[in-house]
Amino acid sequence: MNESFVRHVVSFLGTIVAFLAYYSGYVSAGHGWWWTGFGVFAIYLILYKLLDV
Amino acid sequence: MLDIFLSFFLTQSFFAVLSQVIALGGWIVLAYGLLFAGLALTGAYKAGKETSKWEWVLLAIDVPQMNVQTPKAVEQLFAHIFSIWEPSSIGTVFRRGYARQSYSFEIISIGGYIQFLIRVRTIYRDVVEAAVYAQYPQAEITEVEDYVGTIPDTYPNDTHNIWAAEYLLTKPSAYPIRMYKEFEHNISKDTVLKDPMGTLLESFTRIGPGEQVWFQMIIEPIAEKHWKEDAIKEIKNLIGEKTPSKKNFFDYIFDNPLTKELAHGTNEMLSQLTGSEGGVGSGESSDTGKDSPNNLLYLTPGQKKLVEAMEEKISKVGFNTKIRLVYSATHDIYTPSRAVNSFTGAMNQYNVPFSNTILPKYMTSVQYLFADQRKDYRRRVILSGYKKRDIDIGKKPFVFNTEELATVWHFPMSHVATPLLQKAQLKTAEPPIGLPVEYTRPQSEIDEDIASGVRDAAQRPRYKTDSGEVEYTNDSGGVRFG
Repeated sequence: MNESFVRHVVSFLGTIVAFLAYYSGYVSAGHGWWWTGFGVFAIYLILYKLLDV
Repeated sequence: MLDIFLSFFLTQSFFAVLSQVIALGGWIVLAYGLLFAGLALTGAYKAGKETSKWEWVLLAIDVPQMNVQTPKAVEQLFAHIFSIWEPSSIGTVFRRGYARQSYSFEIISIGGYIQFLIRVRTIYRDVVEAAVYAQYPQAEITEVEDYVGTIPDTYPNDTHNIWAAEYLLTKPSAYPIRMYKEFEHNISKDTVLKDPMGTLLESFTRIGPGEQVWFQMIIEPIAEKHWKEDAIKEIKNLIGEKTPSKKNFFDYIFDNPLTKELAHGTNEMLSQLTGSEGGVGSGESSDTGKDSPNNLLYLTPGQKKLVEAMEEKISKVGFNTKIRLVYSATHDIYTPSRAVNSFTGAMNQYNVPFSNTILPKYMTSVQYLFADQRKDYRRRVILSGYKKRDIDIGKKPFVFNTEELATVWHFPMSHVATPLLQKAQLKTAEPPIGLPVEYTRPQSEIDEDIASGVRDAAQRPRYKTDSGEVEYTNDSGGVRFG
C-alpha cells in the first residue's frame, strides 16, 4: 500500500459521500429536498468530531 | 402505526425501501462510516510511515553494589522521561504521521544471570541516560544487542517451548496498586524498606542453563484527559457525588421555571382539595438531604483511605502500561513453574484486594475448546508483542502513574543479595576540571596555514582548556601554551 493508493481510496470514499448526498436529494425530489438539505449540515458535525484527534 | 411501518417494508421492492431509507437520512450514517474509515486509514498509513523511520537502542543498566537509592529515585526517573510526550494534532496525524512515543523497561534472566534493560528510541537515548545518571551517578550504561532473536517466533516448535502472559489490572486504572511506600517497615532496625524487588529477582535466579525469563514493561506517556477524567468519575461514584447530567431537548421543554411553577400550583391545589400533606413548604423539607454534595461523611475509614489513594494516584503523571512475562526453554528442560509461579507470587505483593490487583489474565494456560491450538496462538501473539515491543498487541493496556511504575520496576537496594544480578564493578569519578579537549579548527584557518606553507602545523590536532589553547609539540609530552 503506497501513498498514492491511500489517496485514491480516501478520494473515492469522499466521492461516495458526495454521491449519497446527491442521490438522497434526487430521490426525495421537490417535495422533500429540504430533508436532504438539512442533512448536509450533519457532515459538518461529523467532520468536526472526527478531526478531534 | 405498526401497519404503516410494516406496509413500508413489505409492500415495496427491496431497492425502493433501500432508496427511501437512504433518502430519509440513512446516507448520513453511511457518510459517517466512510469519512471515519478514510480519516482512520490516512492516519494509520502516515503513522506507519513515520514509525518505519524510527531507530531503537537497547541499553543495559548496571547499578553499583552499594545502591542506597530508594524507589523514589526511579519514580523521579519516570517523571523525567515523561518529557518525550507529544500531543497529537491535525498536522501531526494527517500530514507528518503521529504515533505515541514509548519505552520498554525490561528485566531478563538468561540461565539465571539477571540484567536490567531499557529500550528507547535512539534520539531519546540522552533523555534516559540523563535521567539514570541524575539518580545513579555510579551506574554503568552500555548499549547491547537485542536478545529477543534467541528464541523462535512460531509455535509449536521443534526445539523450544514458551510460557507467556500479559499481566493486567483486575479493576479500572483509577484504583492504585500497593505502592513502594507501603513496604516500609519502621520496626526493623537495619532495613527500613522491605524491597519487593528482592522477591521478584529471586524468582529469576531459579532457572538454570538453557532457560530464559523475560519481564517487560512497555510504557507510553499519555495526556491527562485520556485517564484522569475517568478516574475522577470513579472517585465521584465512590463518594456518591452526583454529577449534573447534560440537559437534553426534553429537559428544556419540561424542566423550566414555568413548568415547575405549574407543577407546584397543581400540587398545592390537590393538597387543599384532598387535605393531604403536600402543600406549600412540604417540598422544601424533603429537599434538605439533597443539598449534601456527596456521602463522604458516611464512608468507612477503609473507603476514605481508598479515595485518598485514588486522588494521590491522579496527582502524578500517567503512562499507558503493558506488562508481559515470557519463560522459554528447550523441550528437555521446559519447567515453567520454576520461574512463573514465583514471579506471579512476587507480583502479588503489589495487590490490594479492595483496591487493585495485577494478575496474569491473558496467558498460555488454556483448559478447554481447542486448548492446544489456542495456547500456540497466544504464544505467537504475546511473543510477537514482546519482540516488537508493541503495546497494542494483545489486551488493552492500563494506566500506571510514576509511583506505581517505580514500585514494579526499580533497581534493588543494597540489602537485596541476589547473587547473579549484574552490578557495576568499576568505581567512576568526574574528570579533573580543565582537561584539554581536542577541537576542530575552522576549515578557512587550515586552508590559510596550508597556503602559507605550514602544512604540518595546519594538520596537527588542536587542544584547548578553560584557560586557552594548548599545543602539543610531540607525542612525548612536550607542551607549549598558546
